[in-house]
Amino acid sequence: MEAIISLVIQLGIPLLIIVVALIVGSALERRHYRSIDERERRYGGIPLINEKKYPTLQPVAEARFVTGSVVISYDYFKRFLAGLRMIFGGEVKSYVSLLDRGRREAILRMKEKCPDADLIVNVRLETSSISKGGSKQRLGAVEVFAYGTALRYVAGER
Amino acid sequence: MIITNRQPKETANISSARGTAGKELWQLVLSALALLIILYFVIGIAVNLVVSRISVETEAKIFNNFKAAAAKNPDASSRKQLERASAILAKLQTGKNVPPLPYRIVFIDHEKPNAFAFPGGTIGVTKGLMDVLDDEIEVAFVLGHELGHFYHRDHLQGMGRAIGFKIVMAVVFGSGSGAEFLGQSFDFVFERKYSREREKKADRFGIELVYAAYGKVEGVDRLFRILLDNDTIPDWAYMFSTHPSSRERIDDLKSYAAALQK
Amino acid sequence: MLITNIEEIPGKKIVEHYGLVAGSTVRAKHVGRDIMASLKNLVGGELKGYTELLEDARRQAMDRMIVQAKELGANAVVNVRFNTSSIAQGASELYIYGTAVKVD
Repeated sequence: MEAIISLVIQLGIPLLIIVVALIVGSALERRHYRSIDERERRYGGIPLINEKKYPTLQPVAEARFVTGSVVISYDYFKRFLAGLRMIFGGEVKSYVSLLDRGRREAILRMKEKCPDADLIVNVRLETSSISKGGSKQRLGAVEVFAYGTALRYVAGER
Repeated sequence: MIITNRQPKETANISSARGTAGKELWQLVLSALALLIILYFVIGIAVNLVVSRISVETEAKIFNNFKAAAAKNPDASSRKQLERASAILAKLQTGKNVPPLPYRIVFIDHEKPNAFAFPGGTIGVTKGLMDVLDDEIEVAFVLGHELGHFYHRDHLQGMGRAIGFKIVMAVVFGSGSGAEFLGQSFDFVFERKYSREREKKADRFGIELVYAAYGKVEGVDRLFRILLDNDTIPDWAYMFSTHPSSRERIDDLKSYAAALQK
Repeated sequence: MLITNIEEIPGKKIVEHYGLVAGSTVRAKHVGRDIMASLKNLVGGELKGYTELLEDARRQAMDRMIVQAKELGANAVVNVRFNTSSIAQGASELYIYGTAVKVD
């Protein structure tokens, strides 16, 4: 009996968590990407530049500091893949899509705060990991923070 | 200053990672397993090499002070059982191939019938074991089995392998990523199969000793028959067990005894 | 592809701005490098293996940004910023972004 119990605890449960994380995690990722794509179409018209200069053909009616941030965590399956990748080294592809999601989401949230802007200048992006502790049960998450200055021109045209 | 809003269609960053999780999973799992297999055999060979260098005398010296978790104050009946077991051990100790270690028996206050071989010649027997075995041959076989472990150096091998695997697992999967269970599955499949083989070898050693000392083998499998009656584990689960199933051990003993008596 | 981390390309005139472009990669070091580094860590000094790894990763991220910039029809990227962050224990992200422009 002990053999079966230890088998289930040591092999069955991790395997189950990985499979569940894979299914749920990838479904959530797909849904998030759909939402990102849809909102990017809506707010895609606002250009972003990370320069301080801006066109001065028209007078600026409003300049506003805008920010957007998101904390996004990696699922157990991604962590499993990354854990294996860390044995051999190389690109951790499972985390690339996570950061891509985070970054696009943060930029979108920034844009959503100024839907009538014509331009966002001096955009800066910051990433920080919120995975402190170092223990096995540590929280695995990253924060992406985007900020910039939104400009709206008088004529509504740049 | 002209600003034309253009958006990259598929970001170059993500295109390398899209839809590759499945492929990456198999590649990584297979490579990790290959690495584990190599390390597994390297550790096995290394431990074997080290253990073969440790002479029986050195072993006795190193583990002289080793004290197993023995029952503090055994009651009168337990003391009697212990004395009897010690007398049987003294009889077996002089048998062929038994390494010259300073053997002693310690009594473990536990209900489950079991016996252990500790480094340095200490044999632990549980109260449960002594209670279910009444015939001398039955006890002799259990002790002979443990002496078999000493002869094959299984106690040292097991210790060395356990330490080796722990270190390798910590180095390779040190990140706490959930990938450790790959190593664990390895333990379940390979290491336990190895352990079952060692147990069978010890069984055969035990029956040989008993046959040499008593000239008969009837009753050696009594313990396994008792265990078999109380067995609730399905046969397939023994694939992942450290010991072979009682049924398998009884059959193996039977065929080996037949070969022995010829 | 011209790349600067100031807002212009000296000696050239920027005729059109296309918006942000970015490149990124997440890299892990392998166990062997890790062991060597932890040994080196006892005495301090440069961890060559890690320097190379991050250099390599940064180059890849930059290459990906350049791919994006080309896709937009740009021939220069100005005001480039690097962002290196450790995502998990043993994995770092290299992120690079800038504004894609067209110069004469």
